[in-house]
Amino acid sequence: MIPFLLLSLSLLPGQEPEAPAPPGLARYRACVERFASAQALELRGLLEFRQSAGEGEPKTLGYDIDLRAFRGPSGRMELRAPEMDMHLTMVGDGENVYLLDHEEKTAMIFGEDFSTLAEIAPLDPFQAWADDAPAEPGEIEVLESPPGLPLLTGLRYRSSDGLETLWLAPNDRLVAASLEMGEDGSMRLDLVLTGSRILDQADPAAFAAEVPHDYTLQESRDVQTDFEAALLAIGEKAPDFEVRTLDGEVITLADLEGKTVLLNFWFRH
Amino acid sequence: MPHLSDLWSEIRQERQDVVFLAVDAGDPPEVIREWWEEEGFTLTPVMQEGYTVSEAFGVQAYPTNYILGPDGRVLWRRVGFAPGTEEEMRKVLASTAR
Repeated sequence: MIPFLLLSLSLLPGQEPEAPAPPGLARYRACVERFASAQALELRGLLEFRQSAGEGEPKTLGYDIDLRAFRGPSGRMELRAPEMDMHLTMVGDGENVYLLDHEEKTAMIFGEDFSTLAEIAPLDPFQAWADDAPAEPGEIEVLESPPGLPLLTGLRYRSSDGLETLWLAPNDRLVAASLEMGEDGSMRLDLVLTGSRILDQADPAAFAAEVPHDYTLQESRDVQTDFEAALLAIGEKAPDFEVRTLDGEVITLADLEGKTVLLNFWFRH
Repeated sequence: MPHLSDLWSEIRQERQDVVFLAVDAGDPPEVIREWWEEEGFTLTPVMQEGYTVSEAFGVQAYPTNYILGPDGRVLWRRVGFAPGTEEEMRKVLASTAR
């Protein structure tokens, strides 16, 4: 029995797991590496997401959870790991942090207290996970299973091919999260935690049917709608602007009068 | 960006009256240049002063896409690039074809 699966302080740097990594492991590791250099933002709030177990209406759940959120110098942060097909944008508004996953075309909202982020992140808790995890994807070992205990504060959940679920103790710390939603409405929410115990393997049907013990359903916001609400309205006259090409040529909207203009706002780093 | 670049490669063959601008937010020019060279993107990258253009257009999340009509009014805008976004763009662009 290993009570603290995800956090191990005795790891050697550079130690690589022999067994194939569980799905998403590389992603988590990259998340942690990037997050370690992020500017932390102290927030309290809810993890909100919509989930669907594949049948019936998608449900909106809110978890009051220990959660880490991040804020870059300009109120946003971008995480890129092209070799892992990872491209995340996080935007903080002082209350919530919005995470957009450009690769997976998903978004999530969260807020939290993450005062110990910098201490936790460099320890790479995933090494322990990789070492201990079963080789077969989807097979999470049940290390401790006290039936009936209301300890759930988070989950790792995959609804597409197979299921992996963590039931977590109240003091767990979340260091990274990712959410993928399939076009068919399926959802995979991955939470990376330290100090966690795997308490049980969840039955997806049970999870889908009810909000976990001691948690109440929260209002959810659609991140897409929130961001779009801040944009210019359809039909509104766009303000003139000035941009510059790499060669220094100045282009204004006035220069483009009579043309249909597609503006793609983006950034790389 | 790859989707948009491909779309632009296609559109520019047919339409002289359409412009695509990839408005960068905060990257140094060399970063933009390098990425463009690596990927061979066809649309034009442009830089803004600070975040002035992003702010003027209410952009809080990236990518955000706008399509402005010939009269400078907003025809369409979308946060993120989801499956289906490109198709929406095509439709809106087609609506201004003369």
